[in-house]
Amino acid sequence: MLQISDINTYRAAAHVLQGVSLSVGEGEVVCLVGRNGAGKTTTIESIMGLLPVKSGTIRLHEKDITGLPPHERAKLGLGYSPEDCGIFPELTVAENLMISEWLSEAAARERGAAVESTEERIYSVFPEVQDLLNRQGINLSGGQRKMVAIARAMALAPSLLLLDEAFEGLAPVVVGRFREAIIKIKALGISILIAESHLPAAAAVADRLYAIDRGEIIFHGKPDEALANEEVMKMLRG
Amino acid sequence: MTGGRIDTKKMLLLAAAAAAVLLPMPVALPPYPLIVLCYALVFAIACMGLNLLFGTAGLLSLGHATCFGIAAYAGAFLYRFTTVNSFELYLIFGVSFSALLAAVIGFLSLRATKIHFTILTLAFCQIVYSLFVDGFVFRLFGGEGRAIYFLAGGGMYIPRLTLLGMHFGPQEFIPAFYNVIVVSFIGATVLLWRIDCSPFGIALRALRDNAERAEGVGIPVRLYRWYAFVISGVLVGLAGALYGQLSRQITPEQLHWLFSAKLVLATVLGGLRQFLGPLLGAFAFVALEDVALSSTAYHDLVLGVLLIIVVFTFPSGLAGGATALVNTLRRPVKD
Repeated sequence: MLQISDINTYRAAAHVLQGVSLSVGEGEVVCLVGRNGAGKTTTIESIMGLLPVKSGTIRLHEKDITGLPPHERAKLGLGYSPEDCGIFPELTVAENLMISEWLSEAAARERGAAVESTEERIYSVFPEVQDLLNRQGINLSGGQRKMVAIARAMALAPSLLLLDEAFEGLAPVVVGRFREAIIKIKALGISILIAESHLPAAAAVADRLYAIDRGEIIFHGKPDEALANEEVMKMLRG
Repeated sequence: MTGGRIDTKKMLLLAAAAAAVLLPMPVALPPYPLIVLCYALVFAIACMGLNLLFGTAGLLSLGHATCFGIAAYAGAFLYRFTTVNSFELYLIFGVSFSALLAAVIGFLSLRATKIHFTILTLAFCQIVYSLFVDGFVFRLFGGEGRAIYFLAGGGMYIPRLTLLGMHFGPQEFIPAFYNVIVVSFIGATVLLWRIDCSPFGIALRALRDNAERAEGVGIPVRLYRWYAFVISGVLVGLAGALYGQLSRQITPEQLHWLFSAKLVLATVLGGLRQFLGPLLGAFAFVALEDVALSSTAYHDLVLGVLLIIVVFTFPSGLAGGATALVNTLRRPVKD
């Protein structure tokens, strides 16, 4: 589904991603783990098109999307929940969701596909969102913001969700709630790529795992292999 | 989920109420206040149109005087160099020119953002202004064009045109034209209200809050900004064409960036973030200007002082102040 081959990305003069390659299969949950500053967010932003890739290719459903702007990638099925959640503070939760739903409907019409409502799928994963609909983005707690950000990405009817630091800053009980949500999203047939610095949280939901350090992939394998790998654990502990 | 969908019935009822209040004014008001009301409504269309770009999409343009002035100039040239004397054709021709210019200026200016965007719009505004004030545009029309330029210094006369094929004399024209202004005003307000409540309007507010995140959730930011620029330019052009016929002349002053600044000032005065803010601002600005002009020779000084007082008293604009007052009155009193 998603195939990243040897991408190099810069932030200003800094060469952040140095030949990163990874893949996400159909219905798969893949985690990209690493310390702060390792290149996780840069990888996600490169996939989403928010940062230009200097070299390498990004393919989604076999289509080369390396040069496409972010909104075109979203149209092709990339849902994105950023690290800061990116909730529009002056809009209500309903309006935040409505934009994605509307864009998804427009994209379906453009493709000549049937227009499907995404409301049911969103509420099946996060029923709590229904109680927040009239609340302004600025008045949401951290956990609620993350929930709404994922719900908004799902309103686009994506085939692949990119979640940047999905568990960061959440209370342990809420982390459990988010794990359940990810399992439910996976059950809906949506693939997920999670960038995460907390290995146990990532390992609990991931089918496969990549570890990134200083812009390079240093490990790729099953979560239990990562937990047993001394080099990965040492890198994550700093 | 669709919490922001428009209530069409409510909107139509409010439009009908506005029409019921405004349409009898030619009977209720003496001629001069009626003319002032005409100018206020025209100015309100321009401010509300500008606010789609400024307040809703978060882009400050100092170039909308171009759309305002060009609509009246295009109509004036159409009248002068053809046999057309219909207001409807004048309006369509003028607004089409505004749309075209807005599309081109918007396309080029939106390659930049924030203050750089504002500077680009100002630069385009001054280029168009100089083409008129230096006579370049007039010279394109040969000897007659040159003569018009030298006789009026870049200004152009627009006669009383026919309204729906009917001629109106000097006494009847303003009351008849007032109805055209009211219909245009209500039409523009309804259109902007629909946009404001639509997913497109919500997307504009989202990209105003955070353009990068808006792009990330799938909003084509530059394209939507361009749409907002063009729609805004068309509405400011509509106001310009109405203004040309109302004052029956157009001068390069209406193409100058200071006229754009006047629109911005009135919009801020009314309140950027409230739908009816620019409307209130336009009315207040025209009223303050009228008071200043009629009371002293130092009218710019008086207008400046009045604006400072209003801005200090209502920092979030007149509409913001009114909303805060209503909220205070609604708040239950504690025992």
